[in-house]
Amino acid sequence: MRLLASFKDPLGCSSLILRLGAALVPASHREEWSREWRAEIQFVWLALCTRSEPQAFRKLLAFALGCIADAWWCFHHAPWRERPSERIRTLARSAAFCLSAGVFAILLITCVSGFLPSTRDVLEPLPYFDADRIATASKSGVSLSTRSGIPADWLNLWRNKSRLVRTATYRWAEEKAQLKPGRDVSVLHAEVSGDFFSVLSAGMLWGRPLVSADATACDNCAVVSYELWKKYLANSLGQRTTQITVGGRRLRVVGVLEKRFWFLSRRIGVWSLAGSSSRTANSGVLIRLANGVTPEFAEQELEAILHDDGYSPWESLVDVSMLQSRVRSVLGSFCLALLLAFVMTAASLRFWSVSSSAAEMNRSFRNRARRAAFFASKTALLLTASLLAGIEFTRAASITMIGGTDVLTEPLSTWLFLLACLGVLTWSIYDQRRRCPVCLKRLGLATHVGCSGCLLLDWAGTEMVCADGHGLLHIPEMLSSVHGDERWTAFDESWSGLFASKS
Amino acid sequence: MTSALILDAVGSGHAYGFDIMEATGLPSGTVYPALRRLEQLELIRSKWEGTQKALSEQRPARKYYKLTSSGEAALSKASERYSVLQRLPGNQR
Repeated sequence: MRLLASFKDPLGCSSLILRLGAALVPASHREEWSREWRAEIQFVWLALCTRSEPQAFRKLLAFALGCIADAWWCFHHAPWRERPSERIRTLARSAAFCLSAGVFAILLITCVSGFLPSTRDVLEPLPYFDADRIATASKSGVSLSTRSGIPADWLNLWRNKSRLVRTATYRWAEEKAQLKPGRDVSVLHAEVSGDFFSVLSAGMLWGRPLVSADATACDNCAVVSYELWKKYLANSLGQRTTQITVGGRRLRVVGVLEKRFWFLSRRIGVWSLAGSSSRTANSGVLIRLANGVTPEFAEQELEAILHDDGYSPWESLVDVSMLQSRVRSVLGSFCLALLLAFVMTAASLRFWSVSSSAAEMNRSFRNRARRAAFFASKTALLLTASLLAGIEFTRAASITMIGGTDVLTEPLSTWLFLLACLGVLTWSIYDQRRRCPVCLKRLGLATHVGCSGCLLLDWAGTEMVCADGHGLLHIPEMLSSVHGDERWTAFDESWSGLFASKS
Repeated sequence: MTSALILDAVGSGHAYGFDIMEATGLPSGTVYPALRRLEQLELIRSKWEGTQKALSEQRPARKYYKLTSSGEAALSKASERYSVLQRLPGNQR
């Protein structure tokens, strides 16, 4: 309504044109420019009214439109013109830009990964009934590297004698599959025992899970993951008997697992009953602990059953690890890498002694709190971005058949975390030291001063100035007991004239 | 020629934008950029009018322009070159 009213009012209309023009004028001169034009417009209107000129409104508008040409001239020709590249450079120096870049990186990772599916898998509870009682068992050796699957005869003993756990087996491999006629794709195919889904208590989107009775009644039955179904089979859901071929085996799809379901790796697409040839091979073992039973109790019971059957203690070491904690172990890797990075960075850089002069200058608690908050926010944003990228793009959350993290991805992701944390912390501290302690803008106008090869005991190094004229950072070329470390010199009021046009 | 006209107008005592427009007959979109250019070349200088005087006349304070010494020299050169400047109404002194 106010806008409509201003179109009827000659001065209001001129004011709108003036605002449009002002947007083109560089910020440092905008106020003075607007003031001059406002005064001129008011005077022109007064003059036109006094003279009772015909078409005064039109004449005033024609006069006001001249401000656009004037603003355009200011934008293009004034010596104090802020070119777009200079504006971008100025913007890139600000603390707000740094924090926005961190937020942007996180948003980019979120979008590229499809809204952080792996991170959600790590943070959310596993999609099974009583998931905190689900564990995996593996044959353990003297070190983690000698872990292997469980032999079939051990499993038979446990099934018959254990009173603390229920067990089921699984194994998987990457195989060629024909999910649509004439179209071969590579999928992860898991072969499980008939009681696998009842031990896990997994939910179904459609159809039924595999059951023990299928071993005799329907040994070619299979269930598929939601992702695989949606990608390849969604159109054929109406057909009662959807047939697929995986690894040369013809399978009949009897169900689709619920959308949230995943077990050890989201990439597993097809679940079928173990063939007779693979029933005797070593396999991964899924365990559901009875109420109140700890993994240690379960390990003791399972080992005791093996000892009773004549296995020597060295041959029958069993490792039971809780699935939820294995999935979240990636967060532990990140925290470990972060701790190591903190130690290494603090050791390699004189972290806390940025500049004693600066510390003296910034005595106010508010200023120091602002600097600390900026440093903490910047570092936290970048560390979060590196954690999310690590989880989403390295499959660090996937777990192998024997319950450990993938042989290739675990060291890779840990190293990536370590390198990323080191990189983030080092850059973050370096960036902090190159910022003005007052306005937190990056320092610029680097000037090399002196020559270390020709001056004895004189100062040689680089000086960087705050664009807003708050001070000067001296960075020595060589550290010496005479000149010390980086030093901040605060400018007093007498310098303000030099930086007036920038402020 | 535009600059010469404006310099001449300022030199004749037309001290602010609208006054110069009326003296030269040039539109506002020409006069104001030309004033900026002349000021940048240090041929004219600007000064804000005192607030008290503007308030007493019940109008906002104006920005006044005045020739500098190099502006006067430039104007005399321009007058030699463009004889039409001598024939303008304000210059029949």
